[in-house]
Amino acid sequence: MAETQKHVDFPATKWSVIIRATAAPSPLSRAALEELCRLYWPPLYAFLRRSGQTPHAAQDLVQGYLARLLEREDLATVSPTKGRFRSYLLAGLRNYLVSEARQAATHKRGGRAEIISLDLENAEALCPLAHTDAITPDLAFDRRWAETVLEQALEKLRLENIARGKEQLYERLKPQLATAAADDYATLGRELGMTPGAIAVAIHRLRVRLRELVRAAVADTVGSAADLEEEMRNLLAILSP
Amino acid sequence: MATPTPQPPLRCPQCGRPLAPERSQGLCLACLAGFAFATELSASPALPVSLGTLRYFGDYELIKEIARGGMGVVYRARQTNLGREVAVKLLLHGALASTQDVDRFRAEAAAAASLKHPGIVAIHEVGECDGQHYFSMDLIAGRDLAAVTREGPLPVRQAAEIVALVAQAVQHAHDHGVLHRDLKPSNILLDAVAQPHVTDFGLARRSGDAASLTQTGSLLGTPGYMAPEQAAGNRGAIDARTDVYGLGAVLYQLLTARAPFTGESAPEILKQVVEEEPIAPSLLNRSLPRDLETICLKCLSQEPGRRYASATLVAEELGRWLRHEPILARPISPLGRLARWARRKPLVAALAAALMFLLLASAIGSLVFVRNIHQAWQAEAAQRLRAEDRQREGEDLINFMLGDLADRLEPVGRLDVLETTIAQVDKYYAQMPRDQMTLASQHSQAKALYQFADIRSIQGLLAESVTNFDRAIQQYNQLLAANPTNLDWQFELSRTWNELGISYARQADYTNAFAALTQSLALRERLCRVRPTNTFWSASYGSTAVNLGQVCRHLSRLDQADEYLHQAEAVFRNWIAMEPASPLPKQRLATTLGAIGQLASERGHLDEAERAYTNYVQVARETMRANPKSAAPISDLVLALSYAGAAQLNQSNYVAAIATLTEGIEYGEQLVQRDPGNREWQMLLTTAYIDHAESLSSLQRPQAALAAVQRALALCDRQTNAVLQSPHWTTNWRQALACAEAAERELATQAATNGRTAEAASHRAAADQFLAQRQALPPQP
Repeated sequence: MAETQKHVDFPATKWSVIIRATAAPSPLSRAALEELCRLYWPPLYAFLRRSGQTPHAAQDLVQGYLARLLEREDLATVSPTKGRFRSYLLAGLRNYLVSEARQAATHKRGGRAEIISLDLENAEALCPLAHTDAITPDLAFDRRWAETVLEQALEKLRLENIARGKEQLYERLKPQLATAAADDYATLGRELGMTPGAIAVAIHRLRVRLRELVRAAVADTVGSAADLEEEMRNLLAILSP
Repeated sequence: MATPTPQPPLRCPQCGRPLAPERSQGLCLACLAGFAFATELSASPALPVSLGTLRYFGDYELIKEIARGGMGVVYRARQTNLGREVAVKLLLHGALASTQDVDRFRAEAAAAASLKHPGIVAIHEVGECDGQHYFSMDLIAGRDLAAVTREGPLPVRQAAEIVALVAQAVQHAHDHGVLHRDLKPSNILLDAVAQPHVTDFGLARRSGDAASLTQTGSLLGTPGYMAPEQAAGNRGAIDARTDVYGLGAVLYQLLTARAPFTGESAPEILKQVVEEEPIAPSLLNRSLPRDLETICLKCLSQEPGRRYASATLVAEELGRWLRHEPILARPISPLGRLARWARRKPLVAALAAALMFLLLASAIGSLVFVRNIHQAWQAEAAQRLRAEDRQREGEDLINFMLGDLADRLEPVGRLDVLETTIAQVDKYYAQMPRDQMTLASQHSQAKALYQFADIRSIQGLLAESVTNFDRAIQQYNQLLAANPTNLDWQFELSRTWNELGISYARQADYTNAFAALTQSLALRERLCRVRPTNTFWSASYGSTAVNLGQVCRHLSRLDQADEYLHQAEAVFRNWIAMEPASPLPKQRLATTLGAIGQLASERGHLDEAERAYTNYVQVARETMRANPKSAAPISDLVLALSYAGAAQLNQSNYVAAIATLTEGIEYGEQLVQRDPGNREWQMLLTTAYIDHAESLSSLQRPQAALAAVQRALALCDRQTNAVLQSPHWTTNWRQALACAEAAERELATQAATNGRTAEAASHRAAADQFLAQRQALPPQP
């Protein structure tokens, strides 16, 4: 009981559910972990690709790492008091790479596992990387993470509007979310039968809702209110040009 | 092998960042976040004036966004009442958190506005409009130095000229009581005639305290140019010499095209700024004159007292250098460096602790040796040793780190300790003036570079491992230029080429892998000719030949691959004859035979493949019997059996395939029981089960085939219920499902033939289910 009281100031997020369940994993904590792993697949993949791994090897490594995480629910090292899932996962991946390398030590020296053919295939569609950008693996990880969070929030926003029967309005207003081109409000208003003010209000509401969805997604990956604020700042800093 | 050519990325017309429209509903995520969150930190009025809807702002018409930073957005704008074009910077909401901040901003902006100097971007107006703080300034047509150095370092004279001019401008500001506090390349604009103009005077950083910087994360931009006293949050220590540090940081970037400190996060960089010296610029730019480096590093001294006392002194010193006069500053002596190194990095303590832990844990090595080193370093720290002794002591310690310590740390998984240690060694040598470097120290540096690259390779950071292997190779080439007959160095160089080749091959860059491995093989061939009795060297020749063979296979140079692999086979057989008791040559031979078998089956030489695989199994079995307790020989044997079985299956030799694979499955199950988390072993076992099932099917034994494939499916299921299918596992899963479907269909036919209609229907239903599952898998690439 004392354990839950400690967390009472912060809502139950997926991450807090997981870290509270480190001693005794439950179906709930497992489902939460699985969902978070899904969110983090693209950033982990981006990290490995940027490190120089081939698409094939990168997929196998991400898969192997997450599969092991899920299978063993390998969270004994997580401290419930601090930490974000993001940092935990990346640190875990680094350790996993080293343990994999050790397993394959003979491969490195002589080429045993090389016998399992490692042909390239066109898997880059999963995560196209702009090869011209000279960025570090960690930055690639961070960027892909921030993008995934925003993409998923945007998709939720779209689905919410469809559910409310406002798909058309949403599709018309959507381009305005990412531009400063306010001079079109009058034209847009005439087309949609709305005043420019009403358009502005509608866009404002979409932005507010998007912010809420992003915050909720980020909150799922941290354990405390302070971590949430820090993580939100990180997210915005990573996304800002 | 066709490497997928990267498409040129689509870019956002507004901000220029790469777009992935299929994932983001066609929107630019950076712009979306910018506009959606721009208002979040404001006082949230009912309909906030966001940057997104602004076109007119006070007297200004905003024409185009020209820059964006942590503090705000800069627009090209027309000042309507005066009809001139200016730059307007709108501070982001939240950039000025408290009213105190606002007051300070206004006071300092007013002071900055009083500065009139050709090297300073003049501020016209500072104000607030609808709660939005802004200032307007001269519009400089040109690029900032950060953009300029993105294309590489500047010519050294031009760099010195620019920084001398910037230093004069900074001195002008200091004379008027204004500190810049945030000198960095992005704050200096080069106009059309390449004259520098400093911008954001006194306005950029509200406080030097690191706590606030960490709080706001990288919103304030990179701290890689920040002076140590700022990074440490020592606000009282900020004075003119803080800007002198900034001048050094700018010079550093112009000369090397990078910041003095880089890292993965703001806190990490800040830690470096406070604790470490920057990498000597001459290491990043070989053409750098030593005096210019001395000037740069003096500006960047940790302690303000060791820097130039004023900006004007920097300008004068650079002037002397430009006029080819002797400069006043003296380079830091190696003694000074070592002492500083020891003082700032209590490496001795950390190292001794790590050693104690290791030696006690593994009960190897000599504690006396550790204590001796510890005492020697204490003595050193107390500055009792003479300079030469000190350098030798340091090098003894370094050689120990690179040799024994590395060998002991790696097996116990302390790569982190090893990495830190080696990075320190690298930095130590990087900062040593070139004329102080003995051959021994150059050799130690080469070894350090090699070790560091090796760690990166183990960590899977392949791009970085390539860079460092390359650096090691350069270093070895320099050493060998001084002493071409040193065979040990030649061998170490051949090892470095070999590892570089492996790093390339793991990145599927087989062309470069081939080039590197060819270098290695040529060197090793020469070494073997000079010392034919050195078995280790000839074995190494064999390893490189195997690697080359594999790379040639990927390059479709199959004849060449065959030649290299057979060379390797001969080498390893010879080695076994000389050391019949040792397991290592047998393992190498087994690997080689496997590769030969694989190559042969790819070329359609099925008989040869089967012969090679049979030999492969035989050698693997011998090795396993000689060492029955260890897992690696068992897994080698399972691999051999699964290849041999697959080859027999390909040749329709089903009875032999079943016998081979049954043995493989038996050992494979042992392995998986040993470590249920090992995916490689699970993969091996799954493949064996699938091939086994296919052989049984071919012999019309559907019931047995179904039993085998069900075990394969159970193994696949443990992998595929996880997040996203990996290509290997999806292939296995698809094959297993196809095999199960075929077995069920065969059972259905048999039942129907015998008139058992109900049973036939249930087998058909089961077959349809397997088919549906297979069709639900992601399409085959």
